[in-house]
Amino acid sequence: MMSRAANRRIANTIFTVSCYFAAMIAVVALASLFVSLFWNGFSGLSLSTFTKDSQQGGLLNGILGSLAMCALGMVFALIIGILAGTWLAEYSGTSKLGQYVRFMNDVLLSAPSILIGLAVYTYFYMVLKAAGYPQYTYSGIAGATALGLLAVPIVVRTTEDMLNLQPSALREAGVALGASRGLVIRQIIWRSARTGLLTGGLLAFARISGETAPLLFTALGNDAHITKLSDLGDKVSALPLLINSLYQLPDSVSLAWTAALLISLAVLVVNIIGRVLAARGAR
Amino acid sequence: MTETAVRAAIDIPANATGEEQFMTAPPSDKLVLETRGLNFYYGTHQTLFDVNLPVEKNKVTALIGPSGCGKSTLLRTLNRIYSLYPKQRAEGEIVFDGSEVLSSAMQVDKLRERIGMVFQKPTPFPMSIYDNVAFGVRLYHKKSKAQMDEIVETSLRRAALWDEVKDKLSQLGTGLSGGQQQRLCVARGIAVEPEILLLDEPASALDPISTAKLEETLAQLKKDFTIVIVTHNLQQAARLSDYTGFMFLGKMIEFGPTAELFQSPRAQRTRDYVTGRFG
Repeated sequence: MMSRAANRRIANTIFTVSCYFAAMIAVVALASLFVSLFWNGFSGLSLSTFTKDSQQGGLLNGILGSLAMCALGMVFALIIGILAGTWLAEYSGTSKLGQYVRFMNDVLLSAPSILIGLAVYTYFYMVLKAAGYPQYTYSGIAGATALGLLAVPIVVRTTEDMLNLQPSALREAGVALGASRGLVIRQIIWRSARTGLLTGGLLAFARISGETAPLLFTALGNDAHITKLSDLGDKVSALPLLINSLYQLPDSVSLAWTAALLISLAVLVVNIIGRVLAARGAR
Repeated sequence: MTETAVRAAIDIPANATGEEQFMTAPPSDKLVLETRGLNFYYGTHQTLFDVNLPVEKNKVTALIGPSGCGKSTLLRTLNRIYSLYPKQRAEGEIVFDGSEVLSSAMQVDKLRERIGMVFQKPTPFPMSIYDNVAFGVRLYHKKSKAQMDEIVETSLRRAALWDEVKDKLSQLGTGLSGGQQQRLCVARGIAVEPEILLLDEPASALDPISTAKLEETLAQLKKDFTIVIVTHNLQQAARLSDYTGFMFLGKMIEFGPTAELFQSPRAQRTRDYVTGRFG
């Protein structure tokens, strides 16, 4: 009969090896994703990728559309998200309303993105139809709104978490000098938490830049690239939308891979910047 | 430790608490701040009981007592900083320069311009050393660059920090050492020229050398400000203060001139505490 110590050693070994394998599977999955992206997408990468539209074998319409809609969506998300997160962390206290808002935000955080797209489509259609312009239902503005809505709960959550990390002594020190709560938050607490807030924004940006579903019913896609801000009132292309459409055309499969590679690299870079900033902020 | 356990440890009969207070108050015409019959509550839990604290102008008043005796709480009522927290509440009277601090008519921002505070842990703001010192001044006055430069320099000199930071005023205040940060907080507090400076265990997070420097600074500031300091360090209280109040379980047990309180305490509990029998 084996001793209890030997039993424990075996159990321990099995557990350690299982953890190790599980971790390896995750890493290998990610690595193989990047390998296949480079394998299939890198050869299609050239100058014309960035200068021509998708009809001419480039991705310019997708790149500009994605950048514009993500940027606009993030402006919207940062304003709403930081203010809402600040309210939750600094003003809501233990109130019932605060708890409801926090719960709803958590629900939104995990809501399927296609539902967000459908919801935004419905709002735009109803409002624009009532106003007499139903032809503008599909637009870059609608796309940016859907992306922004996806980013809001992420920004709310990181803002609340980051502000809660700030020591209460810092708030007291500002108030003790005679400053109002609002001034202390704006000039001291936000500044003290700024790396964290920026990190939250970057992670939200990385999240929405790869989203396809919310754009299917809103931005819809466009063969031409945007040249001015007002083009966002019309249908707009985006990299994820291009992947979806190009992959269905036999001649354009390699361009779809290139688009996928570009998005993945962008998300990777933004994530790395976010992590570095977060690490720096923690010091 | 529970109240009963503390009492048992120092041989005080339970019915003796708060029966007698030994007060030797400064002459009433010299007082700048005074609490009368002050009670304090965290929610329903009462932490201060009928506290009287007279503070003489341009003197240092020290508050001593074991942890949890209410000395920090008492200090935090004087500028109403506790009112940041909705569940905390003070009752009784606090009179500052003839007006009632606890009255709803009191404008707390004005009150805090005149009563500054330095906290236990250094709280430099995430901005330059210069802006840290200027922060409070900017809340109340529009100053020219030259005037502000002078205020910043004077404040840092009075806080004995000028020589160490004069070449790096634009650097972050959070980059200084702990002791320097605490003196920066003192400089920030005195830059608005308050009448009273409240210090809540300002040296408790500092090493002995930084503590000595901070004490030197405080000894200098005695001349111009009325200081109320909460301290765990009895020697510090004895060295720095003119008056000392000994608190225990939320009550002011004994108050009087520092020399008297340390050399010939009248309450048994004060004697036990200052001679090191408990605490």
